[in-house]
Amino acid sequence: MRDVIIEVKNFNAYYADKKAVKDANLKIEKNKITAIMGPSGCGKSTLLRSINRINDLVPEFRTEGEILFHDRNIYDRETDVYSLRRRIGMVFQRPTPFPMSIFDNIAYGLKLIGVTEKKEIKEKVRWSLEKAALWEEVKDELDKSALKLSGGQQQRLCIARAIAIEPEVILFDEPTSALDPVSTQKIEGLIEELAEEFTIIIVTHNIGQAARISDYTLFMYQGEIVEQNETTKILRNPTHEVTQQYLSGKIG
Amino acid sequence: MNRSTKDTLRKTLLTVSSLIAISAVFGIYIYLIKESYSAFQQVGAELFVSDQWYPVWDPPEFGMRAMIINSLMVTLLGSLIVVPFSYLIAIYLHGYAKPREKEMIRRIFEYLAGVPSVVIAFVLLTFVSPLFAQVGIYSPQNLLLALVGLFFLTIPICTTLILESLDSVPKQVEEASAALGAIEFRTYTRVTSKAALPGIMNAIVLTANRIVGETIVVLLLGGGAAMIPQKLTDPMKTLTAAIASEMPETAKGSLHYSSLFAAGLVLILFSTLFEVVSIAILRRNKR
Amino acid sequence: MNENTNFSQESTKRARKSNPVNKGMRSKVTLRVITYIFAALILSLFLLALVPGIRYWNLDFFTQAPSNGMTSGGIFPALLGSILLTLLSLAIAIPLGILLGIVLSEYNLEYIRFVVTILSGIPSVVYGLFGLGLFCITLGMRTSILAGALTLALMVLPVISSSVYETMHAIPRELREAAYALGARKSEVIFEMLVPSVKRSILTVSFVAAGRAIGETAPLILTAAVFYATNLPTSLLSPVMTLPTHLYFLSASYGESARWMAQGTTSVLILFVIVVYTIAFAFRREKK
Repeated sequence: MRDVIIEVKNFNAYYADKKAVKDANLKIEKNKITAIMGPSGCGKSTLLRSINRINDLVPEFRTEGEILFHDRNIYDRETDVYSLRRRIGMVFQRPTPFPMSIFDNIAYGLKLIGVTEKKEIKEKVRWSLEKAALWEEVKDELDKSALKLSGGQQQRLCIARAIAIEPEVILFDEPTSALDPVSTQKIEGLIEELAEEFTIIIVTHNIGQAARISDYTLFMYQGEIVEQNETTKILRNPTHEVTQQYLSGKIG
Repeated sequence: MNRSTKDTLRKTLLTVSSLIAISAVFGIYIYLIKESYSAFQQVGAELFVSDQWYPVWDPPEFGMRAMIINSLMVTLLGSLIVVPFSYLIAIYLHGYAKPREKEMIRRIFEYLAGVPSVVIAFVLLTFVSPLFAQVGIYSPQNLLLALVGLFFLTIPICTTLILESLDSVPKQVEEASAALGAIEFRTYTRVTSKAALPGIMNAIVLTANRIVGETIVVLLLGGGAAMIPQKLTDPMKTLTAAIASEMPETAKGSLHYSSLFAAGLVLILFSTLFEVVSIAILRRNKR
Repeated sequence: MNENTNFSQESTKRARKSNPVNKGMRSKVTLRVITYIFAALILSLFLLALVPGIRYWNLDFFTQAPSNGMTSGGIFPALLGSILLTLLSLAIAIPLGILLGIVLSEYNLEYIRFVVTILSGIPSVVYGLFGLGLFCITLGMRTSILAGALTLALMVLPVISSSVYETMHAIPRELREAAYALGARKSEVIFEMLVPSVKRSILTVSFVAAGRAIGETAPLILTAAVFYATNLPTSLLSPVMTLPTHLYFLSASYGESARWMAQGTTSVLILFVIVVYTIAFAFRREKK
């Protein structure tokens, strides 16, 4: 059997009384890219944001069921959400550089995990920027404000920031939807490379993107997972009617 | 310092700041009540029903009804003058002024908002007050002059608040009106203003609150008579003016001292009332 | 703002089709005249405050104490007192105001918001009464710099915290989430992410608060200021002279003989206001 790192079991999520995710069951395989697709409002972002419990910040959000990370339920009472989020990183829809220098953006996360030695921080900053294919562009201006970078550069900086603290899983919430085609292409290539070291879950409404980079795809509709399989199989041969309609552009 | 100590320290600081704010409000109320207690006990209802304010006579009299009425009258008249003009200026800036023009005039108002009231009072006292004598008015400081001072003092805040609420009305609303062929003035006064009404009402309430609490302008320009003026050119004195001018020469703990705290208590009740109305207006609007 | 103008030009065209041009123009011209008259009045107020006093500026005016019953000398003690009081009150109010602004923005506590709104509406003279009762009498500080600074600090606290609240509240949720996603705690998100990103607005409001504090008169009459101090302050518990209270006392109790000093003081005060606000606006503009 495949090497499962995350398993979602009978999982429901609510905003107040509104059910956003209905009885989700899925397994995420280590070092693979899993894409979550579906029309807007289908619950795909909610599901993703439940995996690192970032949705805890949303008032009136609550869950039922389990999400197992290394076989332990992250919704257990004794879970330390802060260390959970360090092990499961996240990159958002819009680039979210902090209002600090490029260097400090990455150092910020490192300091949170207790890296204090300057030399080590410098090495990690370089390592993560190289991994994020940004090093060559910014190595001479690490002190520049991150806000002055272009949108695509900002997003790669956010990826560098996420990987600098070496999580096991990285969640991407529509990471290219606010970017131009060239930047999108760069980031897709980057995500594929990252899969060698990290497990990746990406929410996207872009069918082409899922086809290009993901190993597995799951398709959601109105809060339910209607289909999940290897990406090639789903795209070539969707079994569910809703998936067929979505892939042919009838809903979305 | 490790992370959790830092976390605790920061949370403590936040709690302390909240506690200071809360205890300031309660502290102010408690102090005013405590210090005015002996006035209530010894002067009693006379405080509010008598117009005779002779605190340093023998026997002294502490009737502040006239000053309460003056405070309210100044507030009413002041608002009646400043609000319409602020509204018209805000309409002009909102709908007609070019961006740079709007920016510049706004800037002038913002600077005026920072001018200390004592400066406004001094300028009017020096350059306007002498004119009264020339036209045969016996009191060079009077209700009218105080109202002029209050006008300059409050027109920036009133105009800015009204302008902000007009500017926050969605463009589509105005476009819909314009598309029906309405001239702009009609659109701005009927449609935009209606949509911005809660903001405008809030501006009026906050302006009124600013006037009722203003001290130096009414003190230096009002003429300082603790009676109800019969015409605009009569001198008058408000609660705030009495506190600021008499307190420094009053013995701590005396009945006069206590009566001035009672005046402060009346003032804070007014201001709390105004703020509560403002909160209610904004909250109702939100829903 | 641009969109707004485009819109109004557009609507002008539309309106002209069905309405007499005159009618629309007339209201525009009337409103413009009203606006310009008041703008001119305000500007002349500035000129009347600034210009007549400038001619009394000289080295003695800024370095000497008043003498001969306010007929000669300068305003040095008042200048010094105002600067001391303003700096001290800001040193207390800015950190506290930032903390309170954070609470307003990041903790959804209705009663704290209520309390700050009430505080912002309390008349300055009532703050003066409170300062007099609590700081000067009960805590035994008497008429002193410290009592005045504490009173002023309390007064500008709601100004600072409301402004911090507004800018912090406007920071997009995503930015907070990005920090949480790295495993940061709430206090770390607040102090290491949000506070640095509202730095500029904190600077702006600090200068606005300085403008407020330097011009306040009524609370200082009750808590800190004396008409004439024979000595310069030697400690935080000394009474002081300040520019606005000096101007107030001169206007209230002195006639022609001290007019020159009052005008000189007025011009200094208004210059302070212009400088302080210009700096504040400059910070705000850079942000845009």
